[in-house]
Amino acid sequence: MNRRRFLKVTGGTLALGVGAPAVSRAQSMELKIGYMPHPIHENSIKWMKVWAAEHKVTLTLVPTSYEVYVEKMTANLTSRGGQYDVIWHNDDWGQLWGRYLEPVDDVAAIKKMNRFLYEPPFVWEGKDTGVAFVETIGTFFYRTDLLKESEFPKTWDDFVKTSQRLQKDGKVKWGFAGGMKYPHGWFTFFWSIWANGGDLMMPLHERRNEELAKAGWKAAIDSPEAVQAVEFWWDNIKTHKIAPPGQPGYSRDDANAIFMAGDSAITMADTTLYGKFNDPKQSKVAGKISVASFPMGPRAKFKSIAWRDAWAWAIPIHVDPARKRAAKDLLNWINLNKEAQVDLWKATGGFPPNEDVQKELIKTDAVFRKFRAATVESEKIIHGAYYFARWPEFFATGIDHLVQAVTGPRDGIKATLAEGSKKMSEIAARA
Amino acid sequence: MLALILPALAILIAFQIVPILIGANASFRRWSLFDPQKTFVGLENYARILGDPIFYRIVLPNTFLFMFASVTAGLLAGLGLALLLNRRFHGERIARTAVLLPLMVPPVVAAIMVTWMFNDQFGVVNAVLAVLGIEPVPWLVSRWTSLGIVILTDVWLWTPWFTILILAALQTLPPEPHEAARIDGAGAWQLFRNITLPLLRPVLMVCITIRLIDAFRVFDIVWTITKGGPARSTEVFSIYAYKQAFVYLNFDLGSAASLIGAGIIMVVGGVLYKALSYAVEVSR
Amino acid sequence: MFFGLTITAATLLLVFPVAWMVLTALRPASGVFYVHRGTEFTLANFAEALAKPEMKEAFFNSAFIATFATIFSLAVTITSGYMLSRFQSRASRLWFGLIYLFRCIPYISWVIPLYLLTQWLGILDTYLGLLLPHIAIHICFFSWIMKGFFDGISPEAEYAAYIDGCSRWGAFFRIALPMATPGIVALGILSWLSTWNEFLFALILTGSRTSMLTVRMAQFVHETGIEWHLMSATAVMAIGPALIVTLFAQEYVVKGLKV
Repeated sequence: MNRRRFLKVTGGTLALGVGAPAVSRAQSMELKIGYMPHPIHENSIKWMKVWAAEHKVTLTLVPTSYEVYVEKMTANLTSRGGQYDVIWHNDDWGQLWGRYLEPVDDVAAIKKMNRFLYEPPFVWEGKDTGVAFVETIGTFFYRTDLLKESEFPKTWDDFVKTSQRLQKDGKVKWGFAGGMKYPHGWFTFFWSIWANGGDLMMPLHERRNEELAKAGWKAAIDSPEAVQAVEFWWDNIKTHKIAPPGQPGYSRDDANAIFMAGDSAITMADTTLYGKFNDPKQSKVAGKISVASFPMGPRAKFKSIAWRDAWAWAIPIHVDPARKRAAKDLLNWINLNKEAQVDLWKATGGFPPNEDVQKELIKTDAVFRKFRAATVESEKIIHGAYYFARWPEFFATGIDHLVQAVTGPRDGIKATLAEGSKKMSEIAARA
Repeated sequence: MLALILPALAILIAFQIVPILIGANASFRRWSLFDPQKTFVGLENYARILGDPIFYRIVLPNTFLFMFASVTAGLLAGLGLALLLNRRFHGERIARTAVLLPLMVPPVVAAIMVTWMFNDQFGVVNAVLAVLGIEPVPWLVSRWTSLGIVILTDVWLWTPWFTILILAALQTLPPEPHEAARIDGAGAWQLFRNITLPLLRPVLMVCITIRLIDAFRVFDIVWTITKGGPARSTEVFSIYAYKQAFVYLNFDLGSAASLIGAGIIMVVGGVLYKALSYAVEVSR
Repeated sequence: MFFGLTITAATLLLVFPVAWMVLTALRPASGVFYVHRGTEFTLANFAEALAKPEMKEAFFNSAFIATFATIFSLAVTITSGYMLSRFQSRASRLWFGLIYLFRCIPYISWVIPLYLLTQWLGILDTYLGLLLPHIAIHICFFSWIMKGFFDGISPEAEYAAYIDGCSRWGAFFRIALPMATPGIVALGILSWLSTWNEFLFALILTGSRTSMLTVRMAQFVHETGIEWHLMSATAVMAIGPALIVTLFAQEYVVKGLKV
C-alpha cells in the first residue's frame, strides 16, 4: 500500500467517524433522563414513558453504570454540560449536588410523601431538591420453612441460639450471612450498631449538619454500644460459628447468593431484594421467605428500629425553563398516578412514596402489610446515612476499621475502633 | 522525519497531555469535585499524601510487591510458552489460540469470575479442596491470600500478552546464528542462553518495562476483587488515588497522588530505561 | 512427550477460568453461583442478554472502534517505531521520552479532564471521540514495542538497499516492514483485543449514541447486586468476535515458521 492510498483510506475513515452516527434533532420536546440501569429506575421510566406518550414528549434514556455515576454526573453538573434534564439523585449525595439542582417545592406530589424522607438529604437552603420515586429500606429476610414468624429472634441472644439450633439440626449450613465488605457495611455492622443503641456519630440519630458541627463532629464507633456490636460479629464468626468465616470479605452479592442457594437461614438486605429472593428463576428459596425487624441488642434504647430513605429524581438547575416545567409535570404525575405507584411495589418491592397509596395497600396487600410492620412501623425510624460533604470518606474509613477489628484479635477491637473514631472525626471536621 | 512524528504528536497532545496538565493544575489547588474553590495551596496536597502512613507503609509496598511478582511470573510463563509454541505440532492452531483466551475476556469480568471462584462457600476452588479433604479457606479475608489471588489473576491475564509478543520476536530472529551454532554442536540450553536470549533482549526489555509500568498502575482487578480491602490492606497505588478523586471526591488529592505515583514510576522506569539502552547496545 | 504434557497443562490452566465462565453462563440464573452444584443447562441467559437495549449495537460499535483504532494506530506507530529504532537523533529520543513520560501517568488522573475536553470539542459520544483517545493510548504503547522489533532486525539489508539506490521510504516498505510482519500482526491482535475489552474510555466518553460492549456488560452491575447470569452470558458471547479475529490473525504471527 503506497502513501497516497494510505492517506486516502485514513482521511476517508476519519470523515466517516466524524459523520457517524447521525444525530437527528428532535422535533417535539425532548427530556434526557440520566439513570442507573436498575429494576426500580426502569420501572419508574416505564411510567415516564406513559406520561411522555400522552404529552407528546420524547424521552432520551441515558443509562450510566453505578461505579461512575457520581463522578460523571458531578462533572456534568459542575460543567453545565446539559447532557441531562432529569437525573437520579441518591440520598447519599444529598449535599454534594444541592447547589446545582432546581428547587422542586412546586411539585404537588411531594406533599403526599412522608416528610422524613426529605429532611435533610433532599433539602438545600430550605428548598426541596429532588422528588422521591421510591423508598429504600433495609429489612431482615428469613426462611419460613425453617422458622415460624414467632420464632424469628427478637434479641441478639435469640439470634445466636436460634442459628445454632438450626445448624445443629442440620437444617441449614449457616444461621446468617450478610454483606460486610466495603461499601456494604449496612447489612452487618451498621444495622447492629443501630439496633444496639449506638450510631456512627453523636448526638444519637442526629443528621442535621449544624447540630453535628456544634457537637464537634464526634464519631462514635468506639462507643460501648458499637464495640459490643463488633464483638457480636466477632463471636458470630469465630466463637458461635453462625456466620461464614469468609463474611468479612463478602459483598452483598456473596451474601445474597448464599441465602438464595438455601445455605443461610437469615439475611439482611433492601426490601427491593424481595423480588429477586422470591423469583424461582433466580432463587432456590423462592416462596419460602418472609421479612422481620431487626433483632435488638442488649443496649438497645428502643423496642424496634429501622432506616427509611429515598431515591429521587432531580432536575439540574441549568436546564431551560420549558423543559424544567415539563420535567416537574412528569415527576408530579408518576407520583400521583395510583397505578404507577402500586406497580412499583408489585414489580420491585420498593415502597411507593405516595402515602395515600400506601394506606390502601395496607388494606389490600398482606405482603405489604408485613413489610411495613417489619420496617417503617418500628418504634424508631432513622436515616441510614449522613449528609455532609465528607460522608463518603467518613463511612469508608469507618467500615475499614470495623473490618479490621472483626478480622483481628478480639481484645484489639476497642483500640482499633478508637483509632477509627478519631480518624473519622478528623475527616468529618475537615472543611 | 517530522512528518512521521507530527500526527502522532498532535493526537498525543490533545488527548493525553492537555488532560494531564489540567489534572496537574488541580493538584496544586483546593479542588473538590463538588465544590471547586480552586484556591492555590502549593504543595500542601503532596505533603498530605506523602505523610499518610497508609500510603508509604501499605500502598507502596503492596504496589511494588505486586509489580515484581506479577511481571516476573508472567515473563517466565510467557517465555516458556512462546518457546514451546515456536515449532510445528499437531493442534498448534488450537494451542496458539487457546493460549490467547485470557486476552479475550475483559479484565473486570475475569476478576468477578475469580472472586466467585474463590468465595469460601460456593467457589470452585474450595469445592476442589473439599474433594481433596482440605478445609475451606476464607481467601478474601486476609491480606496475603487476597494479594496472592490478585497477583494470580494478573499473571493469568498477562501471560498470553508476553507469549504472543515473544513468539513474534522469536519468529523475527535471523536463523543464521542458530544454524551456525547448531552446526558447531551447541546444545538446546546453550543455544537458548547464548544466541536466542541476547537476540530477544530488545523485545524482552521493552515488554518488561511496559508491563512493570502497567503493573504499577493496576486498578481494575484489585478494585473488583478486594476494593483495596480487607480494611485497605491490599490497597495499591491506583486504588489510593482513585478513592481520593472519585470516592471522596477530592480531585486535588487524587491528582496529587497520581502525579506522585507518576514521579515514582518515572524514577524506577528511568533506571530500567538505562538497562534497556545497555541491552540494545549489547545485542548490536 | 514432555512437550505434549506441558503444552496441554499450560493450555488447560489458561483456559479453565474461561471454560468455567462458559459453564456458568449455561446455568439457569438460580445456579450461577454454586455452579458446581447445578445440573441444569439453559440458553436463556444468552437470549435475555441479547434482548437488552443497545446490546446488538454494542457488538457492532465495539468491533468498529477496535478495528479502526487498530488500523490507525498501527499505521502511525509502525513508522514511529521504525524511526525510533533507526534514527538515534535527539528528536527521536525526545519523542521516546515523551511517550514514556505520559505512559507513567495513570488514566484516572486525566480521565475527567478528557471528558470535559471531548465535551467541549463536541465529539463526546461519537465514534471520533472514542477513536482518538484509543489511538493516543496505542501510540504510547506500540511505538515502543515496534522499536523493539525493529531493533532486533539487523539494518544490513536496508543498507544494502540504499547502496542499490533505494530511498529511505522504499527500504522501509520493501525490506524492514515485511521482516517485522510477525511483530506487526502480534501488535494488531493485542491492539484489537485490548480495545474490544477496554472499559474506562468507553465508560466515560460514551452516552446513548455509541454503546460499547464493555459498558453494556457493566450495566449488569447494580447497586443492589450483579446480574451475573447476564454478565457471564454477554462475556461469553463477546469472546466470539475476539476468537474469530485471533484465529485468523495468529496464522500470520508464525507465517514464516520453519521446522
